[in-house]
Amino acid sequence: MGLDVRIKKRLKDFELNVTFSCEEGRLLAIVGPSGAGKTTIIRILAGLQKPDQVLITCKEEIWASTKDKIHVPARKRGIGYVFQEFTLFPHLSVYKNVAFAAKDGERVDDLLRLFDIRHIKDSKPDKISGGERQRCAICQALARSPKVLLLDEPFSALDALTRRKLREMVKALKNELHIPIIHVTHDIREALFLADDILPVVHGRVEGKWMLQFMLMSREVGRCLGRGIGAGNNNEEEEEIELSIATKESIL
Amino acid sequence: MDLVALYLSIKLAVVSTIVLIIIAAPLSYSLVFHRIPGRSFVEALINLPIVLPPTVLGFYLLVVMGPKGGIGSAWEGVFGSPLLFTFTGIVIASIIYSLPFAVAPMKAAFARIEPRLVENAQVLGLSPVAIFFRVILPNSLAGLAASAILVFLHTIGEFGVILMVGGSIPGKTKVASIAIYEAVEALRYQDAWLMSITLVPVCFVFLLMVNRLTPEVRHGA
Repeated sequence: MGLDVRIKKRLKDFELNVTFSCEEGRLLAIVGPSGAGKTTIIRILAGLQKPDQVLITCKEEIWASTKDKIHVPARKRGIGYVFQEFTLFPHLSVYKNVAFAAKDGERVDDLLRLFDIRHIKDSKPDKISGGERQRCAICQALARSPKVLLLDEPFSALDALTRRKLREMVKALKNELHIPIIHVTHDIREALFLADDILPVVHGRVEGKWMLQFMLMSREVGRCLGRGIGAGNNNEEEEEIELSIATKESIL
Repeated sequence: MDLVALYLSIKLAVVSTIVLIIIAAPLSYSLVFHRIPGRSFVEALINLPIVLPPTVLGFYLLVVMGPKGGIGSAWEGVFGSPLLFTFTGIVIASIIYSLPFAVAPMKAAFARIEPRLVENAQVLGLSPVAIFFRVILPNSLAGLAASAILVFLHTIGEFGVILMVGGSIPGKTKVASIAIYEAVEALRYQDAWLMSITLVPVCFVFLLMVNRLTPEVRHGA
């Protein structure tokens, strides 16, 4: 019992048409190039955008159904959503941001400790670094004990080192949260590192072939350059990705 | 110097400002963040007092607030007294007259708020009303203050509309601008001078405050 999604929406240049599921305790990465419709999918899931045809169910709740004319508004879906950036409330301290919609204060303290931002709990968002802001945003989303966690390219605006650190934090967290996690990214490396399942989306459609081609091409290019996939990889990371490719349970 | 008229001007400005902020804040919020059918029509209606001559607006208000007008007769039916030539009457008139001056800075302040903040508040479970009080208002305090000061100053300077709707009843509807006009008409220039000179520094200081509260956009050196 997890999240089941069927979405159809006419976008400017193509039709978005995807179907997928994500079980509790698993992380599904929606991967694809810019403009593929990834963010539209996650926004529809959150209830921030309406599609032409939809059926979204979470456990036994129907969140959206064109057939039954159901559209549960974003505020009633009980989700945690981590945006790319700019979503912390600038007038509130880190602590108050995390506690903004929290159900209990103890959880807020635990999260601040877990994500190592307790020392900046009284700072305003404009006084902390990008990495700290995103950690705070993740804590904010988790503080209300969401039914589903949605991550919309949360690390894309960060430097490589911070990105890596945060990826590891999310990976560790994944095993503790028994909820479906949907992670949108254009970074295949990130998807392979974090995800249990991968949904490659190109022009609004699931394109498994595209992802395999991309990975193979990247590996070839990497070999020619005497490096791993992408710039700046080290051997450890390359090995990890090779392993991920071999053991990845499903590329939908 | 007519101190009662000065007091009445300030009282009118304070009451109108408070009422207008309460009305204009949710109105501006809806105009910026919600899909309103006929938005252009609503905005044009709000801005009408800017382009209409005050006497024209005053004339129409005189008609609708009179005993045979819609608002005037309804008022009399409920409260048993007429609306025209009363302090309440000039408060209503000045609210309508100053509405665009309250809405414009608020809309600008609300529009500067990152839309994702509002979306984040939605997914965090907040209702539109809670978003307004917990996210929008705390992040637009400067715009709200600018709006309040502009309305206050605009009301202090009102003349035509007030004269049409309120006349010039001492202690009731005779505000400073009307008192100055009457002093000039009666060749009491010293009174006119004193009242005018009192208003100039007050208005200037308030305008300086508006400038400080409004983000500066400057191109070039």
